[in-house]
Amino acid sequence: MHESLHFNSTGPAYGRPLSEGITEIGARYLVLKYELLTPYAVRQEEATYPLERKGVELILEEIMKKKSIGRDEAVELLLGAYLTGNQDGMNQVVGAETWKEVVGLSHKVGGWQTHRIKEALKNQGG
Amino acid sequence: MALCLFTSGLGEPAAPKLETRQPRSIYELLYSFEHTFKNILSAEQWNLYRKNGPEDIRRTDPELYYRISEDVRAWTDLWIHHVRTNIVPISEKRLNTAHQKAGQVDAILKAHFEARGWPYKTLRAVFLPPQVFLDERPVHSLLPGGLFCLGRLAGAAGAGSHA
Repeated sequence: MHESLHFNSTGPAYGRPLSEGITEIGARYLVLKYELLTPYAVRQEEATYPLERKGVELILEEIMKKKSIGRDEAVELLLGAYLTGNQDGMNQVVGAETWKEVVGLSHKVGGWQTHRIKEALKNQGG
Repeated sequence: MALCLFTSGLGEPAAPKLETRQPRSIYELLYSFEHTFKNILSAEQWNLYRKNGPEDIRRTDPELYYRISEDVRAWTDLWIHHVRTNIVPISEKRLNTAHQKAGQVDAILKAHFEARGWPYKTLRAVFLPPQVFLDERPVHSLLPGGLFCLGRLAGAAGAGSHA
């Protein structure tokens, strides 16, 4: 599932932590949605991309807050941006400049840290 | 120690002309990609390969992207053939189960993508015996289940960053 998502990504290149975080969270969401694994089995894989997922969870929280939607819908929105390359949805929710900054953090060495991501998301003027 | 693989040059199949030792593990295969590209690419091309992802390479230098993709695909196919013919195979029952699961995942993803209007490509899943996932470096030992997808290796350049 995880590798299939990477394989199908056609968008602009996100940095490695953002790509891996979205992909891992997307894969977990899909295996649970389609009951390919039990929630217990998914929880056993906590060691897979923990820091990458932590940063992406902050983005999901922001999407959920801004759009007043559930986590599943937020994952779909972010996954869609990653897979299709269409960033309109993300630009609309968090702001184009903010989203560009968050993506930029994923490209910087040492950039993918929660305090930096929080700071970038906070700076959107909302 | 990394193995030097035979390069395809300008898109020709990269079949070796001499009997060479094949990588013993998926990790050695990855080191071999790095090692070989370091030796055959120009300094500029090597920097591009080392510091950028596949999409960046494709945008910046499509010819290099194509060459790297072809080499990685050919080396990987050759290695898979070696593994399948020289290492104790996975039992047919286990292989069938794995193929069924891969087919199920593919069908689910295809339907999920289609429902959202997202383009979908089927990933070629290759199942290999657990021995080739033994990492001889310290710390790491075995990837979960001993099953690994090579689609990204075969389908894209810059495979060295695979986790």
